[in-house]
Amino acid sequence: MIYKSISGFTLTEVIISLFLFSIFSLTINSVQALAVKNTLENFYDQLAIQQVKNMVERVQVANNFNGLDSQIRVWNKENSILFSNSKGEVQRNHQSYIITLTYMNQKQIKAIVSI
Amino acid sequence: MKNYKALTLIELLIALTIGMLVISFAMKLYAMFNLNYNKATNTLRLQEKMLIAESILRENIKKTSYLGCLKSNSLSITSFKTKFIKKNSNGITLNYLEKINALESDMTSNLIMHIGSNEKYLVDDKLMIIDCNSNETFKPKTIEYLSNYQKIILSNPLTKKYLKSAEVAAVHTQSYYIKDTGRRKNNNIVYALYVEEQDGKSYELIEGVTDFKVNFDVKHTEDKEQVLGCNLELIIEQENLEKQQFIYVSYE
Repeated sequence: MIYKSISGFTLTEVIISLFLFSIFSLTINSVQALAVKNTLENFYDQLAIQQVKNMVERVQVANNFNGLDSQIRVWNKENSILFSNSKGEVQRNHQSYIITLTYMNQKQIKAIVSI
Repeated sequence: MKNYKALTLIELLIALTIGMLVISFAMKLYAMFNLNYNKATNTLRLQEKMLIAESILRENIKKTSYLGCLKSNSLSITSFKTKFIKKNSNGITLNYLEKINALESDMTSNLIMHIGSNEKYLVDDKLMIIDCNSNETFKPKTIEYLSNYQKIILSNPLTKKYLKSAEVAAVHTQSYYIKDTGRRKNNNIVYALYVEEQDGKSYELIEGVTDFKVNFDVKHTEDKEQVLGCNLELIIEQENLEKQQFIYVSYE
C-alpha cells in the first residue's frame, strides 16, 4: 500500500489569511471613502469661494445703492440652496466690509472688501 | 487496493461556505469601490464644469459693463438689456466692446472719421462710437490705413458729429444658449451650453448645462431705472448629480 502525503493549508491558516485579507481590503476601502469625502468637501469649498466672490460683487453694488440687506437676503437664499447648513454675514468695519460665509456647520470663508 | 484520501462532506461544506463568504465579501467590496469611484469622478467633473462656466461667463459679462465714459448704469434697463445683454428663451447674447481707439480729431462730416491706429478695424467689423452722452453703432464702408490714424468712411451718416474725446470700438457679439447635443446617456437627452460667435460658428462649451436664467439688479429712481448687476443661475448635471450655480457680476 502506498500512502502519498499531500500537504495543504490547514483550516486555521485559511481563516487567518482570510482575516488578514479582509482587514487589508477594508483599509483600502476606508482610504477610498476618505478620498471621496475630501473630494466632496473640496467641491463645497469651491462653491463657497464662488458664493463669497458673488457677495463681493453684490457689496460693490449695494455700496452705491442702499440695498445691502436685500443683497444679503438673496445671497443667503442662494447659500441655503447650495449648502445643507449655511449662514452668510456681512459686517461693516470702518472703510471695509467683512464677508463671512459659514457652511457645512463649522467651515468658514472670510473676505474683506475695501470701500 | 489503493487508499485515496478525500475530503469529508463536512470539510467540503466548510470550504464552500468560506468560498461563498469570500466571493460575496469581494463583490460587495467591489460594488462599494465602484460607487465611491463614480461619486468622486462625477463630483470632480461637475466641479470642473462649474469652474469653466464661471471663468468664461464672469469674464465676458464683466466686459459688457465697459461702455467708455458712458456708464452702463446711465442706460435705461430696456436699452441695456436689448443692446448689451439680450436674453432669449434659453440663453443670453452678450455685446461687448473691444479694439478701443479714440477719435484723432473732431468730426467735420457725419460720414467720415479719423481714428487712432492702436487697434486696426476691418470693414466687416460692427463699430460703436461713444461719448459721455450717447452711443451709436455703424458699419464702415471703407477703411484707409494711414501712418498715424485710420480714416473710416461710413455707409450711413451718424446722427451727430462727435468730438475728439469720443471713443470708437468694435462690438463683439457672443450668444450662449442650451441645446440638445444629440448624444444620449441612459436614454436621457444630453444638453450642453453652446457659444455662437459673431461669424456664426457654434461651439459646445460645457456638457450637462440644462438650465440658464438671467436676472438683473435694477435701481428704480423717479425718472429712470439703472442696471446695477447681473445674476446668472445655471443648472449643471453630471450623471445623477445635479447642482445649481450662481454667478453675480456688478456693473459698479
